[in-house]
Order: sequence, then C-alpha cells, then structure tokens
Amino acid sequence: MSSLLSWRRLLVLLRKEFVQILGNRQVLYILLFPPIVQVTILGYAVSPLVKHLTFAVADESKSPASRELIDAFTANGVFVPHGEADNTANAYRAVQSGTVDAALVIPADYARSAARGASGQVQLVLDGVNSFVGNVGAGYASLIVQAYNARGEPPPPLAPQITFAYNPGLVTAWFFVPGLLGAILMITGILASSSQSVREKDEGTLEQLLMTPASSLEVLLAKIAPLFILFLVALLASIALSRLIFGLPFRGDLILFLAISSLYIVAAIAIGMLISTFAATQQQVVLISLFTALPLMMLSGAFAPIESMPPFWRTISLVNPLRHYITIVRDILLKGAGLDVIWPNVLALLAFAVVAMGISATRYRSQLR
Amino acid sequence: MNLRRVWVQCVKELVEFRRDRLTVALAFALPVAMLLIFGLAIRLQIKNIPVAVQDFDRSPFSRDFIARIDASQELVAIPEPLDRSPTALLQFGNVRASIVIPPGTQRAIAQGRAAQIQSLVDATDVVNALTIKQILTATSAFVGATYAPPSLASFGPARVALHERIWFNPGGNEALFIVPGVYAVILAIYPTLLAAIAMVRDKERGTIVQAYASRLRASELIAGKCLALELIGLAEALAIMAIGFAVWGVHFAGDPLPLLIGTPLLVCCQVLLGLFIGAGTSTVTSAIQASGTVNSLLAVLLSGFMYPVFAMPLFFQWLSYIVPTRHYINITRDAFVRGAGWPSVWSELLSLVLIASVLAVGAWLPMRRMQMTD
Repeated sequence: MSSLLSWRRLLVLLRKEFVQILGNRQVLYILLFPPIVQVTILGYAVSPLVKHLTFAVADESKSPASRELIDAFTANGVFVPHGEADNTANAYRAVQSGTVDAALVIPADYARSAARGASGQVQLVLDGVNSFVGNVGAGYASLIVQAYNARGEPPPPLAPQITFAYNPGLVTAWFFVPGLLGAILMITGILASSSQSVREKDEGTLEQLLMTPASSLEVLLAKIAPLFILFLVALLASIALSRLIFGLPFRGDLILFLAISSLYIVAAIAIGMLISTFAATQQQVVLISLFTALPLMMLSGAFAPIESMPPFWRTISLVNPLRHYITIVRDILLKGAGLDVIWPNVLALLAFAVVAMGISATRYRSQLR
Repeated sequence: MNLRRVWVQCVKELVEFRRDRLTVALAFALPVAMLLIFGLAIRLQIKNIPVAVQDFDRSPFSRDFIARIDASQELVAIPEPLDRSPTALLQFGNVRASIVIPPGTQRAIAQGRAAQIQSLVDATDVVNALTIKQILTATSAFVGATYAPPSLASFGPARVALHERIWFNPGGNEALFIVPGVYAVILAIYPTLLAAIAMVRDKERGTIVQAYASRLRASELIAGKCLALELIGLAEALAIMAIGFAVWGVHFAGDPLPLLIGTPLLVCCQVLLGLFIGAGTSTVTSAIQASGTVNSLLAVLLSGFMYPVFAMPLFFQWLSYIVPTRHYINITRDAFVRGAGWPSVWSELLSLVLIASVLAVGAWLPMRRMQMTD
C-alpha cells in the first residue's frame, strides 16, 4: 500500500494543483467572489416579505370617515398610495394595466352607512398575476380592517401571547444567508471541481499524469485539496461578513460546523469529479454540472419552503445533500443546536458524501488506467 | 457589414453546435427539466406547517380551537404529550411552533377574565413565523368570542366590511403564476451560457486567430454568432412554451404580439450579454462561472420572479431596471395571465431595446480592440 500513497509525491502533485489554480486569476476570483459577495448582497436585497404594495384609491365618499380608513391602510408601509384615482373605473383600470398592485374602492354611501350604524362596504381589488403577493396582500388587508374595527372596542376575550424564538427581530437575512451559502457552495463546488478535472482530459495532459508513478488516490487527493481549502476560506469569510452586516448569530459549536461543512464541500466536489468522468469536453461538463446543480438548489428549501411542496417532491428532497446542509446550518447558527438534534441530517450528509466519493474515486481510477 | 459573411459565420456556429450531440441534448433537456421542476414542485404559498399543541385545558373550547387551526390550509396541529417543554419541541419535534392551552382557559373566557394562550414560534423562517402569528391571532379572536359571555362578545355590525377580489388568477393557481416567470428565467440563463461558451471557445482553442487573419470584421463575427444563438434561443423558447401549454394549459390571455416581439429581444439581450462575458474571459470555465454568477442568481432573485421587486431596498429596485429578465417577466405574465396588452408592456419592450443596444456595443468594443487590423 505504501506505493499507493507517498507523501512526497502527494506534495509535488499538491503544488502543481495549487499553482494551476492560483495562477489563474479569473478562476480564483470566480471561486471566491460568488460565495462572499453574493451572499452578502443578496442577503441584503432579497426579502420574501410583502411590503410597499402600490395601490390606487377611489374615494367616492370623500368624507373624514373614508380618509381615516385610508390612513389605516397606509400606516404600516404594507400599502403605499400611488396617485388618487378620481373614480372607481379609473382605479380598476390601474389594476388592469398593471400600474398598481391593488385598488381600494370606497363607495359614495360609505360615510352615510357608518353614521346609520351599518357596516361600510369597501372593496379591495388585488392583482393576482403574482398569486403569492396577491394572497399575502389580502391577508394583510383583512388584518388592517380587523384592527380598524376593533378600535374603541373592549379587548378581545382571548389573545395569544406569542414569543418569537431564535430570531426575535424577524431579520429575513438570517433565514436567507444559510440557504444562499449552501446553494452557492454547491453550484460553484460542482462546477469548479468538474471543470478543473476535465481540463486534463481536454488538454490531453491526463496521459502525462498517467505515466508518472503517482497513484490515482494521490492524483485525486491533490485535485480536491486546493478547492477544498478555497471553499472553506470563502465559507468562513461570508459567515464573518454576514455577522458584521446582518448581525447573523453563531450560537452553536464552531468545530462541529467546520466538520460538517467540510463533509458538505467534499460531497459537492465528489459530485463534480463524478460528472467529469462522464464528459469529454469543458462545455459538456459544465452543462451536465448545471443539469445536476440546479434541481439540487431548487428542491432544497433554500428559496421555497419544503413543507409546501407536493409529497412526492418532498420525499425526493430527502436525498438532496443541500437540503440537509441548509437545515444543519440554520440549526447550528440560529438555534445553537448540537449533534443530539441534527444527527439525522449529519448521517444523511455523511452517507451521501461517502457514496458519492466512493463512486467518483472508482470511476476516476478506471479512467486513469 | 457584409451580410453574406454574417450568414456564413452564423452557419459555422450552428454546424459546430450540432456536431456536439450531448450539448444539443442538454441545451434542450436543461430548460425542460427546470420548467418541470419549478412548475410541479415549487410552491411559494405557505401550506402544512406543523405546529405542536399541548392541551392542558381539555375542554370543548380547546378542542374547537385545535380543530379550527387544523382546518386552516396553512397549519397542521400535532398533539404532543404535556410533559415536554416548548423549547424541546421546537428543537427536536420537527415543528415550527408550539402552542400551550393552559388549564382553565375555557372557564376564564366564560367568566370574562383575561385568558391567554401561549405560543413559542420558531422565527428562523420569518414568513412562516408571521403567518403562524396571523392565524393564531385570528383563531383566538374567533373561537374566544363564541365562548365569551354575551356581554363581552361584540356581535354588532363591524364598522367596515372588506370585500376582497383577486383578479386575473382568482383560484390562486400557482402554476399560472410560476410558469410564465420560469420562461423568463430559463431564457435568461441558457442562451447566455451557450453564447459565452461559443465566444470563449474560439479563444481557448486558438482558432480566433484565424478569424483575426480573415477579412471578417468584429461586428460581423458578433452578428453571426448572435444570429446563430438567437435561433437556438428561440427554439428553446418555443419548446418550453409548448410544454407549458401541454402540461399546465398556460395559454395567451390577450394580444400575443408583445410577447412575439419581446421574446427575440430578450434572447438577443441575453446572447449579447453572453458574448460580452465570453469576450472578457479567457477560459471556458471562467466564462461559464461568470455567466452563471451574473445570471442564475440575479435573473432569479432580482427579476421579481420569486420575491417582489418593490420589497427590495431602493438601490436594488433601481439596479433591477438593467436586468432584462425583470422587463421580460412582466411581458410573459401579461401575455399569459393578465392580458392587458400594449398599454401595460410597451415601456418594457422599449427597455429591452435599450439594454440590447448597450450590450451590443459592450460586446463589440473588446473584440474590436483585439483585432489587429479592421
């Protein structure tokens, strides 16, 4: 077995791989830029909360009572007035053409019926082209009206006392950063490792490697190591930046986090290496990588909730390493969870990494022979 | 510009594209797979969030309360033994919230004393947390009122009765909302990628020198590549829209003309962006990574595809104006869902023309500099 792994040969190979990666500024930049910059920028920009919905108001009542209701709608920033439509038809037209997201129509007899003690009938039309926004907007509107109706009334007989755990300030970035981090590491990990290892094939230098006394294990290890280190650095940098910018907490164990992240990075690199054994050219390898990485990203819970998926897809997502990694990162960072909580996810990730590495090492070796 | 040379360059690109069978297969399999996964699996509406309920009251009220929570589409109530702490339930129980109905709640409500239900909500996912809060508040008010003494429950008419109408997609059919958006995202990602590869490949192989040495001008080279990739992109568009119609019945809601003009424009923008990226990089790997970075995340996240643009910080709202997908997504949603036609999308078409012109200059400039004589 001593001929299988010689430290001296490994060191030489490592040096070659490091020089190859570090020598190419573009590759280096592209490996480090997405995790660090995208995570922080998108964590800042992307928000799933619905706010600043523009709405047109057709106030046919033009009374103090109707103006009071409009004020209630605009008070908390969910709805933002977008010009005053002078009549109902114009307000409808504004929704129809997509200029506004909603229209509030207060009929002429609104103030009169309020004075009579009857309910004032008010209509809210929402643009359902974005059904998610439409539904959430409708939900907010009923809450606003509910609160408006409750003014001056005695408090309700039963009120829930709600405590927000783990993220009391409701910072959306705390939820997004772990997801983005996992997704970006997955896609850049697969792309980088697959295209790095197919390049030897493409350029015909694989035969040269084959003729050296280096064993396939050494070749493989040397290929993985530089990428592994770069991704670990990028991961730590983006966690540190997120802490600075969003105050992202780190409540769990750093060593545990690093160990699991290493496992995850190895899994991503293994998928990439495996893909490289199927492809002959750079172009093919990248397309196959995307073909693999995109479904993994979409079915991971990074961007859309897993609970809402149809049962079939929810089951499929159980074999997705990204899904488990994101759960683990959120648990460690936000909940301070330890192995006693996350062990099923860690086990799944471990199984995935071992299987992927095993298959890709076997296939890589057979192609070296 | 010599149109014949442009055409020859275009044919050369198409021949080269066709020669690589795997690439041809993937150029169509990738968009279709993405469309199917998004259309079938991705749901942004919140549904089936598991919440643990510990019922210490064991009264008609508490049973009513739990049944009503369960009846909502959003939450699923899971009864839990009373001896587990709410914190432990959140950590180990795979639930997003724990609700405790304390003993004597029904009696307290009936006697008009302040009653309270306690809930610990996992706020990791902010949208989930807010939804849970909204449902708990509404359920408490409603079920509480039915058990409160008549003197306290106000059954008089509410001051305002709100009638909500959701237009264009009243059933909240999520496929109808997601699929036209996916068209835009797919046509943003793949034509760019193929264009970046087509541009950088000649450089990496060194065959670009032959182009320099020939009488081909930079503008002709770009126009030829652009034309070839435009054709491939339009074929992709046709394929995914046909599948969208076959699987989800997504069809034109109004005048199809803006879409028929907008689609070639968007593909043109994306192809030019890809050529620009290809011109600025030197290896296939870096070109692909760069186009992936620029596109897959910007086009998906800053286009309003999943998350509304108007909820972003102001700077990013401005930034989104230069993202072609943002404009095109309004065109597809209008064509397939809203159906308002020209009045609502002419400005988007104009923006696409502007972006395409800027990108055309951007792709041409670096190539022109590289050419030895022009």
